[in-house]
Amino acid sequence: MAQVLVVDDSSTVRNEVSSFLSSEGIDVDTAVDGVDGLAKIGRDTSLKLVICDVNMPNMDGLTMVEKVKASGKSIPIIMLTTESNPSMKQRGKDAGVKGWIVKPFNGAAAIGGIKKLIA
Amino acid sequence: MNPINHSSTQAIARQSFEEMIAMLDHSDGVSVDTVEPDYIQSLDFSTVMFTIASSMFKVNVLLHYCERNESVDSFSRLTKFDATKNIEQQYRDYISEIGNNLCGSATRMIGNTGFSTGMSTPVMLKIHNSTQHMGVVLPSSEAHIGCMFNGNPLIYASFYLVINNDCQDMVEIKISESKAESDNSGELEFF
Repeated sequence: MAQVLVVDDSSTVRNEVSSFLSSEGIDVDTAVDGVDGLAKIGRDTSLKLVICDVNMPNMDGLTMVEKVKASGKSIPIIMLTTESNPSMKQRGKDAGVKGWIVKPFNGAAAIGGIKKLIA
Repeated sequence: MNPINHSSTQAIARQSFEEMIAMLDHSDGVSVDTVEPDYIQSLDFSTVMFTIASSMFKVNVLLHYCERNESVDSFSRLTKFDATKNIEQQYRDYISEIGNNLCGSATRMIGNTGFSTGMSTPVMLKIHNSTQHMGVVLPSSEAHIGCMFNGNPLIYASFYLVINNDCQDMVEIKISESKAESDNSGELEFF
């Protein structure tokens, strides 16, 4: 029963973020792309937060967010990406994204916000 | 060659490369320095290419890495690889990810100067000695940087600023050679 789902096509990022969150006592599950993420969000009712990459094969992160919102789910989603372009962030806001982290992931800088979202 | 753009290409290369190296879990024994393209060519490394593009210019970024066992071993000593899983696969994934971060940093620096840019997904080049072929893109300036680990070549990056012909006089990228203090990467920005 995971609290946070990490969606990223890079195993390096999945491992890095998962091990940091686990060390903070947070239960984590992972997905390898938007399709996998969408399926897990649909199945796992215990999820309280999704951390998602933007550029991924099969289904990109923002398309996944749009599909989650269209399905009526209200789970908060934050993007973890190298993208810092204002127009990309605006697309995220319009899709209903709750927050944005520019890679590289800095656990110490992000954990306060993450804990607020899953509280 | 526009000296402002040339100096900025050097600054982008150094600052983004140093940010990339900072991703390593341990960086003791790692030394960063500028190099000549001929040196990179002599290493016979593999290359992954990224492109940062705007409507007036692009920056081709080549990340040169070694697929030989000793280099994979070096990386596994510098960062966390899962010993129970395929190390070579983790290494290739790690190289793509640090390349993404390298270009993400460079894109942010260019974006902060007012230019709107986008970034491509990584492309593994099938050719060796890739730096010798980059002359065909007629770069306005270039910079090459890399690092050694315990005296052995580890990873290198080449940056090529290519300005569209009709925009040569319009593009002036001004990036300070000292690292910006207001870098907010890694922080959660709430909407």
